[in-house]
Amino acid sequence: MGQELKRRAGISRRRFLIAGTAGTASLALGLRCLQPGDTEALAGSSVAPAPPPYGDWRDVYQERWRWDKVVRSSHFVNCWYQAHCAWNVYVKDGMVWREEQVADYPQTNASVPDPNPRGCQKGACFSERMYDPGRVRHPLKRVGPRGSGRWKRISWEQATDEVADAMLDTIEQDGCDRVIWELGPLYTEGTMTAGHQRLSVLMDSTNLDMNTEIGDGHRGAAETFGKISFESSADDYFYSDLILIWGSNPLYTQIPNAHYLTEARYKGARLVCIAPDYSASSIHADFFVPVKPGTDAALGLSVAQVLVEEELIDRDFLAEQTDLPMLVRDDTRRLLRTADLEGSGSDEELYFWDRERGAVAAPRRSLRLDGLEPELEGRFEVTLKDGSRVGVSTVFSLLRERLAGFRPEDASKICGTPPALIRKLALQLGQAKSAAMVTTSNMAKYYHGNLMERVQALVFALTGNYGKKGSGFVGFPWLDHDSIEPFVRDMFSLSDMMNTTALKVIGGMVVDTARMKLEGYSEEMIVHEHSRGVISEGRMTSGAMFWYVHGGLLEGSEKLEQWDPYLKRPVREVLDESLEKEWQYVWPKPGNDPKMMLVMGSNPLRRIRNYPRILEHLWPKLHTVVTLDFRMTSTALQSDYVLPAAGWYERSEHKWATPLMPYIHSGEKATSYYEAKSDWEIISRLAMAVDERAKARGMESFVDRRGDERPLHNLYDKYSQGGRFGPTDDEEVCADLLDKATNLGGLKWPELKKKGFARFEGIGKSPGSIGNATSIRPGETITPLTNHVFDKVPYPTLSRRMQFYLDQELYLEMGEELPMHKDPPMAGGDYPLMLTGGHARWSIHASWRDDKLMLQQQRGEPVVIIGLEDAVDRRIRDGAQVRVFNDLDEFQIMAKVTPGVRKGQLIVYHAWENFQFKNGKGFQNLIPSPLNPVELAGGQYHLRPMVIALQPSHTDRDTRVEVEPL
Amino acid sequence: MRAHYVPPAQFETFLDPEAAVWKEAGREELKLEGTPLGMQLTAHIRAAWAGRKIGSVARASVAAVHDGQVLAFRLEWSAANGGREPADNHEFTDGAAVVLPSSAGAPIITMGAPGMAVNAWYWRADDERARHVVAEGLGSSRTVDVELVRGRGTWKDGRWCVVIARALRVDTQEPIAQLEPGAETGFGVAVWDGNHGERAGIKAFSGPLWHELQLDAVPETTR
Amino acid sequence: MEKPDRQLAMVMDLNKCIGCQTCTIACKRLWTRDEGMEYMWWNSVNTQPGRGTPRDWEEMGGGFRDGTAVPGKLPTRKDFGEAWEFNHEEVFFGGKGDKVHLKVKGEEPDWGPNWDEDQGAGEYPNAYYFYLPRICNHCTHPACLEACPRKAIVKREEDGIVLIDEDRCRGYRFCMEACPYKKIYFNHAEKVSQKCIFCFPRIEQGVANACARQCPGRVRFLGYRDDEEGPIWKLVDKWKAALPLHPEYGTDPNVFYVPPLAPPRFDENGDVDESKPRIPDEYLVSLFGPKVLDVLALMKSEMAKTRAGEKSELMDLLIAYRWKDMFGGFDRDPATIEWVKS
Repeated sequence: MGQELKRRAGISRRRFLIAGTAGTASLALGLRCLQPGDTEALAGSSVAPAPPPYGDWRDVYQERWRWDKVVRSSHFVNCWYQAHCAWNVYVKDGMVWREEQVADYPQTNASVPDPNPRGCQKGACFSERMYDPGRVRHPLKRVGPRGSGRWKRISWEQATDEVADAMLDTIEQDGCDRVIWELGPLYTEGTMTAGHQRLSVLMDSTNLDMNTEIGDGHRGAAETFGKISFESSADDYFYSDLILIWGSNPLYTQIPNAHYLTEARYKGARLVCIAPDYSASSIHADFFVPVKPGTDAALGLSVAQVLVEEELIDRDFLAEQTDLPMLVRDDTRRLLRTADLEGSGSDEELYFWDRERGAVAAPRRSLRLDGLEPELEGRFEVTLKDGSRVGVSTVFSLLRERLAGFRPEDASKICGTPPALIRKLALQLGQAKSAAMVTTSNMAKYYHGNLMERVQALVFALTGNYGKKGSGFVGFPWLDHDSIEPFVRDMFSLSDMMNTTALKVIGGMVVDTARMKLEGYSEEMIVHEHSRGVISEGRMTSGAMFWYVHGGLLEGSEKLEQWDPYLKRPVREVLDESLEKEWQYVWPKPGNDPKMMLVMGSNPLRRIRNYPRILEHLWPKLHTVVTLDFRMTSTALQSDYVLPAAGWYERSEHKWATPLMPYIHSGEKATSYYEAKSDWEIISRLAMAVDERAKARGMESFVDRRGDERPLHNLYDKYSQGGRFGPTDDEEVCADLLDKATNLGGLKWPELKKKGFARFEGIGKSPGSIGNATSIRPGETITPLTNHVFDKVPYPTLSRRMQFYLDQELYLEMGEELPMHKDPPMAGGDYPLMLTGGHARWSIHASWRDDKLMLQQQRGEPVVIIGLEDAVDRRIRDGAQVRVFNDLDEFQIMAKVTPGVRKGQLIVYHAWENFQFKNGKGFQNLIPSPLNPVELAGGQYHLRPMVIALQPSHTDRDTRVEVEPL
Repeated sequence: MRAHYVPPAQFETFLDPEAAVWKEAGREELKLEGTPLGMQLTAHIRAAWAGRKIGSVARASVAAVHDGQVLAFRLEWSAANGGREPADNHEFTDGAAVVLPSSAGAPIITMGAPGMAVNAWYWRADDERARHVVAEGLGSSRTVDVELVRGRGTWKDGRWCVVIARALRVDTQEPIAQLEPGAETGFGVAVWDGNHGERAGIKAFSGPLWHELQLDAVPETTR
Repeated sequence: MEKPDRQLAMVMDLNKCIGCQTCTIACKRLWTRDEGMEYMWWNSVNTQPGRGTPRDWEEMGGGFRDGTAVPGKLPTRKDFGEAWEFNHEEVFFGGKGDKVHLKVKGEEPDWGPNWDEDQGAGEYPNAYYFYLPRICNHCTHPACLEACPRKAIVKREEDGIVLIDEDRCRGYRFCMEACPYKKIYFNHAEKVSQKCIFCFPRIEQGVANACARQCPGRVRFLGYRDDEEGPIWKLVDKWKAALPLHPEYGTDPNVFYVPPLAPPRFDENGDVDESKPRIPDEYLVSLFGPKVLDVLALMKSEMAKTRAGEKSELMDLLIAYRWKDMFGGFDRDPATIEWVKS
């Protein structure tokens, strides 16, 4: 590339070999360096003359820094906590030459730094990545066995016809729910999602919800708050005086946001990093708090113990916002319900003990106490409806008993954190005016991650650190425009809508919104019910459940009795119970094998822990596997068709965001690449092909998963709304999605694509975003949950409060009704080392894992990071190849030895591709991802599964291994 | 030394050190010496080379011929290896040059002086082109062209044979040496041993004084 | 050598550097893509303590001692780290299944420009490290310039940027030997020495260097040393909060660093021990000279002020509420330039 561009620039260093004979004099000529004052004048001008040639070697560099045009774009990958950044894409001779940040974001207000420039090293080299040898240039069809790497180039027409036929075969022979869409981190919620959602709804295919499976389920947040999505804006840290980095490594994973942390520290905030290793994020902290991996709950409970003992708690906050004053029956350990006391009582109404009136059913439509004064502590007696008396205690009293076992000296034995440091941490938290937490989806990747998160949520609740600026435990960051659902609904005519099939298909529409309003459901709760309908009706199904049931992954839980001392019965038994009682769902139903998989912007064979089971159990059942991606992946290598998707600078698109950087980002197509097409176009052409092939085959209709007859003959007409959105109308789709959004302030596509970014004006109504429960106001940073804390809107939980006590059967069975510490299971066998991980500095998922420049800045191949002490004990030297093994398998990798990692821990950072390991045996092979039975819970109001949350998950951090030199 | 007259030939012919023309030329052994440390141009070079041997090639065999149009020098010296392309940063390439005064009185020891240029014909093992260089004092050398001087080196059996040639007269304003048959000129040679880290002023050369070169007159019969 | 009229300089705040290498990649994509430049990283960031880029560069000599030139070594390509190429085609399209895996072509890698990333020194839980970004220091007393026998290196009068004239350069590499910071590379294709050009084509259009402007950590301040309104004078001369790296090398660099703080270490009982720092003072003194202790004390006292709710000009400067204020006037958006063909 470099040479090519240089040649085309028509310039070479040698040209000046003779010309530049004047020696040093020429360099001193032309004082072209501007004085600072001059630049303002320049900044206003849009046209600069071509600089006069120097007539010497300098023109090579001058020529380099020239371009034909600049296009705004971004990287439509799931950068998650650090999403997204506006980039200028510099185009020269029709090719993208380089990119540089737009860096034109405003300050939210004068008291917080502006976000500029944002960006990271990965974004800064996508212009290199997009031309690298991993790109897919043409539609490919496998000609050797799967995984052989033998391909033939086929035409787009052949590709879409054959894939369409495979879909129709499946529908005809097995059922529409056997067609599986596997969606991954490239999912945009823009045109790509618009196309996919339309086609999958029309064909009633099964879409995998991979959020909990990837380990981003934040179950502890969901258990406590009834939702997972709530997060601050990164500039909100400027109002904190204490920031706990706990369960994250933002110096790796929040590169564009990290300056807010280092700068907040200069502003006066204490930065504390709680982590097992002396991570990159520890180096800029005021305190490093070492903790053994998997024991954060013990540490947190100890912090809570000190807070309670030292009376550093906010009793008013707890009485109003949490379930800590709620009453629990001594006999059943269940929360006391009105159904216990009254004949017409409900199983959902709970009690607290009012100072004056005794047991009072807690208000459910608002958090306002209206003069009630709940006792936080105490043991009382109530009369049940059968006249018997039963003792009840407040949750807080039970908690205080629980905490008694976690004095710093006790907890230190579990978590390894020095007692004095635990006390110091607790005092700092107790005395902070506004304490914030910086986290990622790390805890959720532990088997007992829910317990850790519940404890984290608890210590922030005890100190009243929610709602106020610069405060709060945070969940999962998500902020999006809410127009995908309206865009999908637009396919259906009024008469379709009268026919309830269409409504059922959309899923959530089966829910009776009016009834819910009458019952006092908040807007958020109603959105959640729609989201639950999407899961129960099968438009989306839990990815984790899918792989456990259909992918053979449950095999990894077979030895769980040996690994998890707390287990009461085989997981398979709990799974069966859960499905039978409809606590959880899976599509296709057990016994109905999946037949076809379309993998879009996803990479399940890299992503899924213990993926060899998938290849062994699921892959043979699939007659067709199709991957749509811009690059070759571990999954593409095992596919039957690989369809070249456009890279991010090769299409017009926009993408969801997070409150951390509450801006929608867009991109305008800057160039094209061989035969690559946007996902919208690929899916549109696929829809066309389905329509045509169905006609050719005489298939007029098909039977959907509910047994209803659905038309096929007008499929493309519906998909495209009568041709309004054609295959190359990406920009029209972008425009329509923006027009439909309720939370972008009337933003228009031409305006967005010109600017590249725009701030959200509200959280909107999408299930992923509404949980933020706050307002987005100009000039203000974002603090989540203010709707609850200040407007007293109930939390979407059973208790309508932050809920720390869970009495669903499985929680009682597993002894997890209160936040608790449990020792991590020995997943993979009784080996001395924990194979942990974390998102990497060097890639967003696997998208840059095999990128040349990124690898040049690492070690050129995967590494396992091992502490000095463990390395010395095993005679492993830095840079040596080692064998890592457990009961499941083994793999080979280079060791990187560091004093920053504690004894007993190994780290393999995220997302190395299988093809980067010898014999294709990657580190995921050793991760059994046992299913924690408590995650199969459901039934109770807020524990029922919904999109992205409250489904079982896959976990990896508890994996036990041994390592030896090769 | 004499530059033997040979019958007119293609320029290319001279560049082959095994060519017949060279059989007739008398070879002269020139003793080479290292350039003095004190004359190295920068303090850094002097510090880096203090106590180190400069000029590792002790002698070179030199011959010259001309055909009335082209003057060619043939230099031969022993060299441990014939590595042309230095593969690494600390590796340097072998080189050789012939230096001629552009004007009378130009000092060779300082590579000329302001207003008194010397003219070097410079060959380096990693460059297919030879350079035509003028200098008016140490560190002032500049390439005036890469077309007029041609050079070719062959490394065989532990010896470099390098031919460097140029037309006797060249139409240019540059202060180069203009030569003619029958005339006498001074000359010097320099050899750089890349293996020894020699480059720039770190080299072996034929001494602080010009050697004499007598160009044969073109025989009457051929005029 | 004449002193330049004005001197451009950079301050890098090591307490904001997150080691992300965006600067490194920004520079790579802009300037060092051509053949012969693949292994060049004019901007590098290394974990300290560590061997650095090139490997063990601090032991390679060069520069001046008491004003006298110190001989230096030439770093090899391996010392810098080879620009690895990979076998993507073979893995993806070669028909060999998992018999082949993605790897570096040729020799197994054993060193690279960021090989010892995040390793550092010490013993758990008292391990320590920080990131040290480096470019050419555009020294006031440039050893490279003074070492070159061809006078092929110049220090521009107008802004003090040090440039290698690639027309005059004959690839003798005395500059590489003499540069004590080992920030000069040899281009084996072009046979010239090359190094950071301080983005002169950008600077000349009023645009900050790519490494500075693209830094998401907001680490780098830019400007004229003598501009009393700009950040450099304020940080270096007024507040004396930034120091050159290895001042004992005698070249008088124009890149300055705000030295790194670190969280407190633990004593044998695991209790916080504030009696000595996590990063040993001697180590920081070895990098930044004895003044580093004063700067660390200054940083701590200014941070204590803001923690107590007081104002601190130094902290406000380092926070850089408005990003553009970091660039001493060189804040033009490059995308506003629309080149008119010449």
